[in-house]
Amino acid sequence: MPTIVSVDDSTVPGEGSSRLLLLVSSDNKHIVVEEDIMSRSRFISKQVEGFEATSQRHAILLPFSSFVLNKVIEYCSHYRGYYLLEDDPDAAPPGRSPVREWDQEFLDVDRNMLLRIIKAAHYLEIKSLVGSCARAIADMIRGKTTEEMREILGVENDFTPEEEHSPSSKCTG
Amino acid sequence: MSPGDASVNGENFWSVTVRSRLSALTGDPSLQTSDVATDLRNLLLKERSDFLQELHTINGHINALSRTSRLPAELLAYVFSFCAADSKAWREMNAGIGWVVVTHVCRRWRHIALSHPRLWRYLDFPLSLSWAQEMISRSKAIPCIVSWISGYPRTGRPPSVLGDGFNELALSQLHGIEQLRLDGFDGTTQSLEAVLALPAPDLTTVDIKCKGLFLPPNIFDGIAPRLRNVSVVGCLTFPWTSPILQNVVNLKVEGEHLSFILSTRTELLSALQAMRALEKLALVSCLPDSPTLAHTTSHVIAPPNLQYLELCGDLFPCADILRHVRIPHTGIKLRLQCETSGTANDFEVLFPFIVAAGGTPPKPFACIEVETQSRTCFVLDGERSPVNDIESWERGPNGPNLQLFLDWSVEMGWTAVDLLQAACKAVSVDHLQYLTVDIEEFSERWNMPPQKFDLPVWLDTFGRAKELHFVKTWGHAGHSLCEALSQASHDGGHWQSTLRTPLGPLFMPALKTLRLYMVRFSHLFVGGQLKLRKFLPLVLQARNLAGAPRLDLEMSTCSQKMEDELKELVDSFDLLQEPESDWDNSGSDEESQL
Repeated sequence: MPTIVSVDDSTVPGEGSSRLLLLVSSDNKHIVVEEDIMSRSRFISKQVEGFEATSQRHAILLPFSSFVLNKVIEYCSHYRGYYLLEDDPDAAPPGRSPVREWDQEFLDVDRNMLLRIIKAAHYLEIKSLVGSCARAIADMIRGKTTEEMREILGVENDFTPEEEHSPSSKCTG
Repeated sequence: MSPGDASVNGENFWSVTVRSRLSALTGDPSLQTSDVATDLRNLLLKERSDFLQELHTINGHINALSRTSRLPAELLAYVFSFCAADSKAWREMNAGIGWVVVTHVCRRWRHIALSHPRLWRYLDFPLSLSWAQEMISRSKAIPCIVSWISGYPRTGRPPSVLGDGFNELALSQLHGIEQLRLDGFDGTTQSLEAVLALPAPDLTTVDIKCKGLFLPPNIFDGIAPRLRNVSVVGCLTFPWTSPILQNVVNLKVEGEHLSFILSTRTELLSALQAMRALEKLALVSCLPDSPTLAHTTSHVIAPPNLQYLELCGDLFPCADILRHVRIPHTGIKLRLQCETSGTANDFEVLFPFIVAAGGTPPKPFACIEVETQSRTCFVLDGERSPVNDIESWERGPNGPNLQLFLDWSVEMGWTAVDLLQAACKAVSVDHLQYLTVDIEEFSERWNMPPQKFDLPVWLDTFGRAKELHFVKTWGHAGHSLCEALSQASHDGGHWQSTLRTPLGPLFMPALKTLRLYMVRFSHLFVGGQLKLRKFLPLVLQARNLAGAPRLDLEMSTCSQKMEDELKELVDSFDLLQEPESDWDNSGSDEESQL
């Protein structure tokens, strides 16, 4: 559960036609964003429902930096008002369909940033963004050798010699 | 003493040194008196083993600190699922195990892969029977997704040979297959037809691209209750009357030249009528022959859930099917790819269906796309456009969006403007927001009457499009758009203008972005009174005076001289400049923290 702090109305205007949310990042940056933009996040939506139940407005503290949060907000803003199939709880499991063109450009970031975005999207329960990030990571390693995959994602070989030659590695079709 | 001196004293040097070293390691003084060589070797091997174990432990700790390892297991498994769903790249580089190579990267990856059975249901053949069975075992009875795609270099066998355990597996496991994809073999394998005659209770998707294959009329023994998606390309027969098609949602049938897939119109319509759940239908080169539209029947089908209809083939068969399909009032996306050996005017037979199909519904088509001999003639997209079809610049701040994309070649002598206007009457443009017009100028060598996307067309077609805020044009269409933006009136066949208020019936009060490419500054506007370089500033100034949004204007011209003039012209405008986003600013700070 996120930490929630109370805020006064002067910090978060909210009774107008466009309701605003205050998101606080782990580096203590306060970011005001329209509720409508973040409605793609099931996590945020559930928080907002909680606010309505208590008739109190709160800031939502999030466990990632403003840099990552801004990136997520950029994604949500871009698809504001759009139905994305991947966000449907009944959507089919992943297939061979390619990453959307805009998402490809959006996720053209370094490895660490990509991993931070997918974690943030996972936390915020934005299925479509998680899916696009996962596809992007899969594209990074697809067709690569074991050594290349280790290099790309910064992973060391921690197998013992016995594990390295276990039956599962001997299955070569 | 250096190791290089060891040969001088032979074994003594190593014995003394290593004994001393091992004594320190083990603290066992008995080593100094036992069979030195054997014991030392064993202990060195043990030391090496311990060292390697320690190394792997250290690597494990390093991995635990890596950002990848801090991803939750379900996320990493999700990434692997995309690898498993498409491991073609690994197969092409001769890695026979495909995506399974990810289990060789580190312990955690292997553990995650082995503990997620859904990853093991992707069986990409060619695979050995033993390995296929191992994967099925690891998938723990989750229905499999089976692909056989030719072209993998690993086997070195002809692509038509379905060996490698496929048939054995399919015969024994077809009841547990959820998706079946066969691509690229020529169908000489008779046993495949036997496989396809078995019941498939879990099958949801079948995708077959197979030249020369006879699909059996009793396909899947008539038992595939979960089948929803069927795509068959290149086969010689198609089981139109099979009961497995009753619940199909997406159907694509593509025939080959001289295939036997053709049925009569009545048979085809009856088969389609039985598919009550049909949402997407594509019939390519498999339509019943219909040399003219003279003969008609009252047999009209009305698929209640139809959302997409694609008809490709000769013009008259396409039109013939189209007139026997009642379009749902919710609208569909229509795609026609028609050919004719006659003149381009033959295509006028499509007009009644495009304009009047459905009759009462105001917008029978959400999207119409027509091609003739592979040349895109026009695309009309309505508000039901899926986001995937919208390019980034065409996406507005608030959905749903509307877009209209016009792009065609008139080399075929196509009556393009007439068709466009007819189509625009079928699709409401009242709420159109994005518009692209790309039309080649008419070529006189085709000896056809001149047609241009000129002022009357703009006014007649887009006079109601008051919500347009993005327009992109090329060439003459841009010129006539500028003219339509100005005050104009028709008098005796000549266009005249009142320059004091150069805002016309196509004022477009919401217009924010205007892209004019390949324009000519020397082109005369407004009854031949003004050139574009003089005229455009007047229009922009008038818009500012009228309180319209300032335009984000971008233009390109045809020569360097005009480019220089263009730069001067653009510099003279007080154009809207987009401020840099906060994201760009915060990004630099964050990068320094990484």
